Amino acid sequence: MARYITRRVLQALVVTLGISVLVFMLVHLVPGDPIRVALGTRFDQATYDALRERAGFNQPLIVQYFTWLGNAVQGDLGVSFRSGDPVTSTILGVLPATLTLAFASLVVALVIAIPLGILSAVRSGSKLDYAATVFSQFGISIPDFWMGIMLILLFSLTLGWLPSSGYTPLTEDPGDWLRHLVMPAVTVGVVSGSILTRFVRSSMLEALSQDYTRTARSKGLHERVVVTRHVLKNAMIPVVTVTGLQLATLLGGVIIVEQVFSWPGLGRLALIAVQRRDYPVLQGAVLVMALTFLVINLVVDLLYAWLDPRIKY
Amino acid sequence: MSHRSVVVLISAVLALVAAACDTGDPVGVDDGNGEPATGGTFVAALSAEPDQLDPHLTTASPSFTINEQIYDVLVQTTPDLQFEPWLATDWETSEDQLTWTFELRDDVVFHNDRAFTADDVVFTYERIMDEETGAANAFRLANVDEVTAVDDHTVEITLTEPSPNLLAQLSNGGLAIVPQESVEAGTLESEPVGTGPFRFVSYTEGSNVQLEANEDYWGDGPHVEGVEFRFISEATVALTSLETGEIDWTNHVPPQNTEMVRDNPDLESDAVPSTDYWYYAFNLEREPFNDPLVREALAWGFDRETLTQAAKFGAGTPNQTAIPEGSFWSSDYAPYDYDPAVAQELLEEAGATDITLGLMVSDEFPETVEAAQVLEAQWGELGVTVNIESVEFATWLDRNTEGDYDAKLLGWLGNVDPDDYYYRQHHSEGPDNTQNYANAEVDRLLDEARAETDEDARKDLYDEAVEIIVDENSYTFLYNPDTVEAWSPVVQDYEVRADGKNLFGTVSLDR
Repeated sequence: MARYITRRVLQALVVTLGISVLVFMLVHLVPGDPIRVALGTRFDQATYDALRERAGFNQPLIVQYFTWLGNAVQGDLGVSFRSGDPVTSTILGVLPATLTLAFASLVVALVIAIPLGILSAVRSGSKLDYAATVFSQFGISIPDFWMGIMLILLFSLTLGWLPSSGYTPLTEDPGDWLRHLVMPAVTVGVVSGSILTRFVRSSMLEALSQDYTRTARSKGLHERVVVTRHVLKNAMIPVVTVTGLQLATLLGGVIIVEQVFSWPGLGRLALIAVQRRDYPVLQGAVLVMALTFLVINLVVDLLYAWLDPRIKY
Repeated sequence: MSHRSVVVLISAVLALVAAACDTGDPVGVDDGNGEPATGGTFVAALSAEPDQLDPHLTTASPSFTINEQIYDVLVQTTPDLQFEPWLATDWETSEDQLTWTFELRDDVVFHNDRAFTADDVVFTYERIMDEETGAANAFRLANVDEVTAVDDHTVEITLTEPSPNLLAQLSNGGLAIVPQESVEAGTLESEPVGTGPFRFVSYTEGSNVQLEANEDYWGDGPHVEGVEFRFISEATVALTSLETGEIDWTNHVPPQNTEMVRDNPDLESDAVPSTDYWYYAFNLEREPFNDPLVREALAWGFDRETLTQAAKFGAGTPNQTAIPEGSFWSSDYAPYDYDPAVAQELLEEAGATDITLGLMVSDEFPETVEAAQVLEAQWGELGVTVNIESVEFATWLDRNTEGDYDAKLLGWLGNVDPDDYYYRQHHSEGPDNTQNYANAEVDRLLDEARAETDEDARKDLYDEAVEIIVDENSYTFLYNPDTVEAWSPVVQDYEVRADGKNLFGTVSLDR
């Protein structure tokens, strides 16, 4: 097991390194650089040249990359080209908002997916199953930005129940924090939940068709006991994996929803960094996203092994 | 359903119920006399975040809006684009036009309680002119030779050549007066200190900027306790927030919403002709656009009215020159009309009947895409194939500087002096002349106009220059957009300005 973990960690590091090289190259090779963007249309060649020299952009790309890498492994992700703030603290600054939205969305998603998925599997073919399938289709197909805006128009404008955008930290005002969280979490959660619903359903159906289920039923157990005590746990194992992957994606920031709700998360940070060609922030953000994804993947796989005693690494 | 799921479900429902109660409306302070209350926090929504707050280094318009509350400039533009005293009370020019002497206010205090003196002006301008600083607006002081403090409240600026546009340059927000000690301590960016009506409190990245009233402000106001800037990228959300009362003001009103905002009885708004202009230009190093006949033909081949309507939904004024009507400097030269027959004739004369061109616009400025679509349609009727290249702004800028385009369409914002409108783009040595236009007569006229201090003579020079520019289509000017802003009825004494600045010092809230 320890060997497995070591191997996975090393793999994750190699993948992260590869991603960092890819992002570095892409962002530097794409037209436009942060200085040109910063100077905008009132562009002065002399100022541009001087600032470029100062930022070290005239050095060969390889040198720039290894300089960045060398600092990164020491925990120094550089400073934002536009604001001069350290990238590490900027990213840490957006973490609370990102984590809040990711976990809240996951809660919404699970609240939708688990009951709905289980019930539609258990009552497969019934009207409930049909309704659940339609609902999950709807949830997957609907563009999240549209749903977000619709929710805002309904709950902020028409009903006046919820604030239309922004984020209040939990430590500042828990009530306000929750009020700002509801709509973004529902927007993301419905989509995520719809995906999970279908997965829960198919996973349950598979488990329900297994021999051990037949055995449990033939023992004369009540159907509810069969489902809850025998089938559920087995069906949930693959669901854990998929949920983990969903969480990993959410932690990378849901850019579109963050834009709609002006939610100061990692996705929005990365988007603005792209527009401004703010290389250090962009590289830092992508690095964090990649590492998060890989770490969660590893945790989910380990969890998987713990849940299912048949699996040994 | 498992026990766990039930617990989660109930918590979620409770959360929703809790959320539904009480939106927490702000409570205003009323002095009870029915007069506008002094107090409350003015909440303003911007469409984007500032990149940083150093007034000399930033180029982002949200940064300018925030800095307009914190800092002051030496002279200020008036609504009709003349100049009024601000930190300077009076000024005079020497006989040879090379020395300007400014008298300064003696009652101004920085937010750190230090009195403002002439040394601050000297330090500020020297910092901007210093190459090491990398100030984006350094070019505005290009003609300045020296800045000296004659005494505590008098500053002298000596120039290398007469510069009638000096006041326009000094009024620009990029030349805000900053305190030396903040710059030297390296804290100017993180803890801005200025002389303006509002003091910096905090900047929570991604969220908001908080300012509080400067009780010791030298001018009129402030009449609110503070200003909060929020960043709302979606216009629909910004306008919704305005209607629900979550915010008090926004400048994020896209063209397609201007009519809706105007007709909404619960909102106040205003559209003021701005100093911006939008244009298209061909790359004069590429065939067949190097042929003035071809450019002329295309200028006859589209309808400015339709284009302006499509791009701005009526919040703009078509213009065949750059300077908006209503300005002393504007020219009414308008030789073109929408006449496809003439266009067709000219194209045939030029022998260019099968043109394909790429028109570079940016989807970060949706009005350019709309305008391009009109050109695509109308030029299409002449047999010209237009490929609209809608790129990210960063890419647009890059390709613009490299000269990598057939045709481009964009605008120039925040122009005050006629020199701003024409020099950099149409002088053969102009830094923004990426279309490679060179006309010796235009050069001469623009150089002379730069230094001409008699206003009428100066206007004649610009009128002459612009006629050549329009005839030769160095740029083909399209329209001057309106500046549209919207606010809640509780906001009193706010006016939308032609120069695009937003000054909240005079604003009060009547909740």
